[in-house]
Amino acid sequence: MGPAPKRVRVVSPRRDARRRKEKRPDAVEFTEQTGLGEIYLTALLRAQLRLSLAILVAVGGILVGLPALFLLVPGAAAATLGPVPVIWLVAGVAVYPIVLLAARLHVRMAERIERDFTDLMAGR
Amino acid sequence: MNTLASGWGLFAIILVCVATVAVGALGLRMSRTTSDFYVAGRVVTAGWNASAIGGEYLSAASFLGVAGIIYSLGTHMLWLPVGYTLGYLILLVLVAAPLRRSGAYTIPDFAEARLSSRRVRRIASVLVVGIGWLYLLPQFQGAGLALQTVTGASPAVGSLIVAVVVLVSVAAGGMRSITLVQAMQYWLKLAAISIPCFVLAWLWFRGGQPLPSLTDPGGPFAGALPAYPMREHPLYATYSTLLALCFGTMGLPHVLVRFYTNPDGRAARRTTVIVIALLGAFYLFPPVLGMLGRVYLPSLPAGTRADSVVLLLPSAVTPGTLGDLLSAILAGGAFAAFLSTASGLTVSVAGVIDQDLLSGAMNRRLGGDLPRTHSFRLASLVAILVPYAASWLAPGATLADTVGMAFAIAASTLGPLLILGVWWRRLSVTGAAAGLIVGGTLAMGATVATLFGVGRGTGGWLPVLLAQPAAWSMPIAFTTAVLVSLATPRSVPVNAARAMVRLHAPEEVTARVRPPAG
Repeated sequence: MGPAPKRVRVVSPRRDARRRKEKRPDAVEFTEQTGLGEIYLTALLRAQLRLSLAILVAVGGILVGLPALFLLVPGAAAATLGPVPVIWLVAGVAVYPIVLLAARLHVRMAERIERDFTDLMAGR
Repeated sequence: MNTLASGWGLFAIILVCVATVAVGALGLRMSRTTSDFYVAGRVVTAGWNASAIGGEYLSAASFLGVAGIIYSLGTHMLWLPVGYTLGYLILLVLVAAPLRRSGAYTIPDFAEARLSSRRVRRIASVLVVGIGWLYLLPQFQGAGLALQTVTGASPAVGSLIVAVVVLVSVAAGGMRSITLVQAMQYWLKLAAISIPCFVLAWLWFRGGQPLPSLTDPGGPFAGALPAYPMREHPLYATYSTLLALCFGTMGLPHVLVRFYTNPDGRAARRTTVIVIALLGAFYLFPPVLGMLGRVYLPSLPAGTRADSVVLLLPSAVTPGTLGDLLSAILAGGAFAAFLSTASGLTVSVAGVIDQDLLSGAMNRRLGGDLPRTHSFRLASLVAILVPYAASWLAPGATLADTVGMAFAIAASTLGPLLILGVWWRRLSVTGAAAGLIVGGTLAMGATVATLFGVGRGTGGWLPVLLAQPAAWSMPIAFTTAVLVSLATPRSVPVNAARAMVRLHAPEEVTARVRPPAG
């Protein structure tokens, strides 16, 4: 550890943070200047969007289904397991691990898509 | 409530306030460079950062409001905490990594980076301030409610305490940016809600698992309590609110800022997954407290809001020292919720007021003589005073409902801006501005109409549509942005392709790949 850095005063969000970032011109130029780069980027975008929409549709099913189940199906809200309402086991407990699994699945797949893209660019 | 009980509660609240200011001051002393302040020197692990996001996100609506609404309206309302959690899943799959890669620190930053337009930036700034204020309102109301329930003090006192503590720590220079403070708040809140919940649930189990006296055909936990009329058109209201929660979370002023602490887009994704786990763990408990409330508090004293059921429950289950102690723990946790959310929001709102709305005007008037610190402190004061005053004027809505309106406005304005900005290359400056203005006007108009009680008590669709506007205002905002963009291809920013590469390409590509030779 060297000497402690000089103390600076920070008074507001730095709106120029964007400009201070390290420059990454290579891929930017590659994409802008070649038709191939354009195709690669479009493919990456499509793959990620498809993945996101698939997760959204799956989760959307839960979203649309659960409230309808509780409100429209007679008896669904009244069912109990011993003294514990089933509705709570489903919407208060079980739903969270499912959402977490969906999130983990998305991260794994999105990283795979990015790895493929990286390999593609490296092998070019 | 007896003096001993209020003594415990007061002690817990003071302890939380002092600890918050003290840890904030300590952290501030330890952070020396700009990088320390903004991104904690980039040494914060994903787990700490996720705890900080959770700490800032779990507000009065989560700590008191969820239990209150499940207590009063029944287990139909269980989807509400689910929606609060799902917002982060939508944020993850649609915008988390691209937003981090954009390098934007706030939503106005993103608007300017993606669209190269000062005009869109200005509109986004106004929306951030409006949403932030609306979200701050219930934090103050919740604080007043908590202090009143525990000590019998006037609600104005609790609001004032939160306003002053937040103002002091924010103006002093940034409790909010110190990740460890917010991370500590998450674990504090989780402990403060889970420990009383386990104890009370155990007492309920040992006491022979009594059921609520309510005789509702849908079951003792399902229907609304007699004192709280079931809402009209519940299915529409449910879907509309869920839509607002799912697409509003990403547009909240204090959410994006935290993602900047992640070193890259991949870390932003992984952090979000941990956030979902942390929120899920927290939201296991408020519904249990709400349902136990139905067993032990079949009706609340006249004039008591359902939001205070969490604080009243322990003494109803086990009168005496144990009940008082549990109440005190819950009150302390609730105050942690108000403080962390309110300070996160205040810094975001004050930053925008300072940068985009105040400094320009002040520089013109004073010739740039005013030091930056002064203008930020002035902005913090404005950022707190307006919602603090409003919390006196608009006492009607429940905590969860007011927060829901903030989500609805965010989902109708900044949500579509972020989603279209991240995924659609042909978004034009004019289209983005039109979407923001149309969505903002509709959602804010509906909110104002609801606060003033337009159509209340008529029993028709109008009050329901106004109270939960997201289901119509969000699609209209999206459609407007898309149609206007298609009609104005000339105002698509020239660097749109460059911006898209930046948002979506993994960092190792943009850092490593050489340009094609020749």
